[in-house]
Amino acid sequence: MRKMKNNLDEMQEMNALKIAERSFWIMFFGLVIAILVQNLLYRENLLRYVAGEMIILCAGGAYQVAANIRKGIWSRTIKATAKSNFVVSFICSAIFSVMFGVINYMRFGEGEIALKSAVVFFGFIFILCYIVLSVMLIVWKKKNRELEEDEEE
Amino acid sequence: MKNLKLKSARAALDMSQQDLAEAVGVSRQTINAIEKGDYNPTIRLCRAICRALGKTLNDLFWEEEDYEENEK
Repeated sequence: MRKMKNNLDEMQEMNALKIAERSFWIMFFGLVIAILVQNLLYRENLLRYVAGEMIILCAGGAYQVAANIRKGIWSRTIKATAKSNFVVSFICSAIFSVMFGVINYMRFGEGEIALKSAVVFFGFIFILCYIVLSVMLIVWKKKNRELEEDEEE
Repeated sequence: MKNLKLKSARAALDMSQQDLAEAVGVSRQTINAIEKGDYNPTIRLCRAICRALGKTLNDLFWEEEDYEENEK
């Protein structure tokens, strides 16, 4: 396939990449906020309303994770260890469980149900998150070994 | 850190930033950013600039102070 002519020079290309990265995060968190708001607005058939956002969010996230691992990239700030995976899983699960609990409280107005649902949600999300991160860590280590073993030309 | 060596080499050849930019195939804003020290060019662009100005990489992009500090 013929490559399109690039009108940007190297500095502009670098700036364009930085802008694209920021745009990605704006859209990513925009979708998260849109899903949370719709959680509050619609009481019935919620999945029907948020399905589009969920699919885009999952597709974008999956691509980012897969592409980074393929290039042997884990994180700028977090070390690739089982311990950090545990901490990240715990913090993320806690944040989303609190949100889940608050939304349920606002929707149903019953504190006990909201609390119980948040606790169950936390347990489920925490285990799921930790398993996914652990699998990703194994794949990343394998990929990294391959990249490190790449022979010199 | 400003790249005064690049600026003076360009001025010695009576070239504007635009002239140099066209000679190496980048925008004027990129040459301006390099001279102001706001952008670190790739080695490929450094070489193109050196060729356009008839200088070596050492002449334009080597900082003696940095070298001395690294040696300590």
